[in-house]
Amino acid sequence: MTDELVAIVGAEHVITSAPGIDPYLTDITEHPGGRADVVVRPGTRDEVVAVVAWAATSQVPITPIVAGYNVAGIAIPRDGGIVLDLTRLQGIEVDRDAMVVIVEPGVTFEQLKNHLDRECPELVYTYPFAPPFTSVMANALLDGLNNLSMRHGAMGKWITGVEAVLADGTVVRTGSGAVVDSWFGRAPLPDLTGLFVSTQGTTGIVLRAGLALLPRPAHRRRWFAFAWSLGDAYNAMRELARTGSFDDVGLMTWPAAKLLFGATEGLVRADDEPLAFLFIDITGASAPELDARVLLGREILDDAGIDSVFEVEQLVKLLPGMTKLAELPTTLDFLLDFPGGGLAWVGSYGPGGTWVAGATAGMELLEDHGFPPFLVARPMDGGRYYVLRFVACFDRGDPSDIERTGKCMAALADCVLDHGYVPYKASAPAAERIVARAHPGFAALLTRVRDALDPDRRMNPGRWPET
Amino acid sequence: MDRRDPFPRRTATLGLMVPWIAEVAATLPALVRSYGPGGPLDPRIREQIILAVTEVNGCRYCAWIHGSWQEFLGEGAHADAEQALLTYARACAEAGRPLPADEFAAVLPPEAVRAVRATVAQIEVSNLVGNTVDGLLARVARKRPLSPFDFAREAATVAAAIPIAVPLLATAGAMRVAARIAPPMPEVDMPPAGEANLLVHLLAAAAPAYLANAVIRLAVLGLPRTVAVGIRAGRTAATVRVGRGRLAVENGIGRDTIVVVEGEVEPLLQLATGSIVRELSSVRIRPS
Repeated sequence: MTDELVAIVGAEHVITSAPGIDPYLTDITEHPGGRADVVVRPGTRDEVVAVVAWAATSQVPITPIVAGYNVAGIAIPRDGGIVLDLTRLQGIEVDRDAMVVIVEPGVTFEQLKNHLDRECPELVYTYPFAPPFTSVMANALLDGLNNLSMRHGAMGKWITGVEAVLADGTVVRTGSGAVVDSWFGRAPLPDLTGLFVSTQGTTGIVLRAGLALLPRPAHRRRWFAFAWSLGDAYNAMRELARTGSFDDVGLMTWPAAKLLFGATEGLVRADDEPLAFLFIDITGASAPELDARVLLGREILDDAGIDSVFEVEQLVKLLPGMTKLAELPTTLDFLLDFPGGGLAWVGSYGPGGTWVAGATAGMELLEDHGFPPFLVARPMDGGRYYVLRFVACFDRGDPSDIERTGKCMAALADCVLDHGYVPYKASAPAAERIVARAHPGFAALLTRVRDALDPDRRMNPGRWPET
Repeated sequence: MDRRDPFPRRTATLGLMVPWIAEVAATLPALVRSYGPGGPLDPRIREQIILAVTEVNGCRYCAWIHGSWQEFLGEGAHADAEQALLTYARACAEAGRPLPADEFAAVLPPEAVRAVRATVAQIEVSNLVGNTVDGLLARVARKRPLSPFDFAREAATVAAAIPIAVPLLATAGAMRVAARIAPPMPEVDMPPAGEANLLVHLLAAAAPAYLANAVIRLAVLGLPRTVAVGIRAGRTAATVRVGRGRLAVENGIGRDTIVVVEGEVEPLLQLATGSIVRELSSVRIRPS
């Protein structure tokens, strides 16, 4: 196997030794380790295509990976074969006129942010509550949520087109870039880009993706505020989102703050502590526009019973550690450096009407399993739907803790589905639950798409189960 | 500086003083306000600017006075534009004249910009006068030409400055003494991190900023008995116990608190980060 792969990418980019392969077999989650025969690190799109074409003729499974921080075990190889490490593909191309950036899979949020700040300071992208070394493209293809998702939706919506290699080595292109020399959008063509969104690499490997950029606002204010009940928090988020006047409204429950202050165990909410913190990002193209939004925001928060609104700038001057919440992407060290190193979550999108009940039930489940009730939430797409993401830190070295975490995550996946929420970046167990509850036609169509694009099921095997 | 004059520092000549005196005159109200409560410039930043200029000009008297002042004020939160301000201050000092403040005018309020310009101008004048003292001493010691005309001019400059310089030196001496005898910042005693409420965490983290000032440290930590003060920020409460060189923060309002300070979170933050003043009006103090 390796001779052919070495001929394509060079010997230094083919890893066959166990110590070299081992780091690719696990991640930070509770999901069990996988197996792989070889890790290949192509440096160009042509090399990726050549590797995939060779794998097609040799009937070898392929698991693509960049940073491996999807927190759902999605990049753990389940069926041996090739782990295709795409980190070396780091091309960035900005179309300033169309406000689109075309990125290769290895481009990280840190690289994109630095590139835009340096080369196109009038434009910005949107950044996740994730480490700076994670992949911009993977975040978009997995339909993650970033700090402008409240206004503009989950990240799959930001994709303006892709170039991908299918399981048989065919290179395809979607979006306007398939027809003209501009990746401005997915309209007005048949929207084939969706074949590669949230399919977790099962339909092909995306070589390039066009992503929407936005003008950089000239003025910005950021607030933290306290919410004392989930109902108050929901009312505030809903009203803020529906005005269309605010960039971001995020929510984290109290354990997040305690973790940021360095607490790792024995987390207890004091009687007089807020239940949750709202993070509100306000921008304006002019100072009067910003002022008007600030005024509106104050009124909405007052009406919703949210108090203690204060400027993030003041807080981070005093407590620089709080920048981790305020400036994205973020190192997440307070989560990733948790003793034992394990991080698991169930994140989901769903309707506002069941947000409070879903949040309450999920937090109770976390506590029932011995975890602090750590919830991250946000309105999405102008308030059309919401996020419920339940987070648990655990000890990866302790089998009983892994088992406890797995049970909790399974229960949370059922819980969110019971409340009308659908897990995003679904782990294999969560994906099974989704498919089991889905309309039969959804599962049938998914199967037919995969039959057409990857009949041998060699592309990231183990994802999106068959009915 | 005269090329034949071996004295290496700039002194208070008419040509060097005029641009700075004009700048002081143009920004005088901001200069006055920057030394009062609620000034547009954090005192710690002001002292950093002063020391940056003084370092360029090499005035040992100003370095001592404002070094004492800085030590007295202690470390505080750092401003976003701090480096830009210091770069501007050094550039002005090196140029020997006020420079346009365009670079940071975009990010600072106009009042703060005027205060920065005023601070630079004021310390430039002080540096030139301070250096003139040393220049005069050098003439007396025959380390530079006596030059009767220059001697008289410098003597007149020094004589005019004495009424201001002497009280400043005395004040700086007092500040230096206070900084030396004030107790050091102790470790903050608080409940386990998981149990401490967020106000406790916040106060513990902010304590070094609150107690940076030597007199406050002397007055608060130097108390012969432990005093309990309740703080209620929004709906969350904490009790701070100070005295006998110790500092403890705990959840809730203790029964032994002598006063309860009530307000919102923002004034507490502003208090610690130096931009307090407006917000302090929203803080209430009531007997426990």
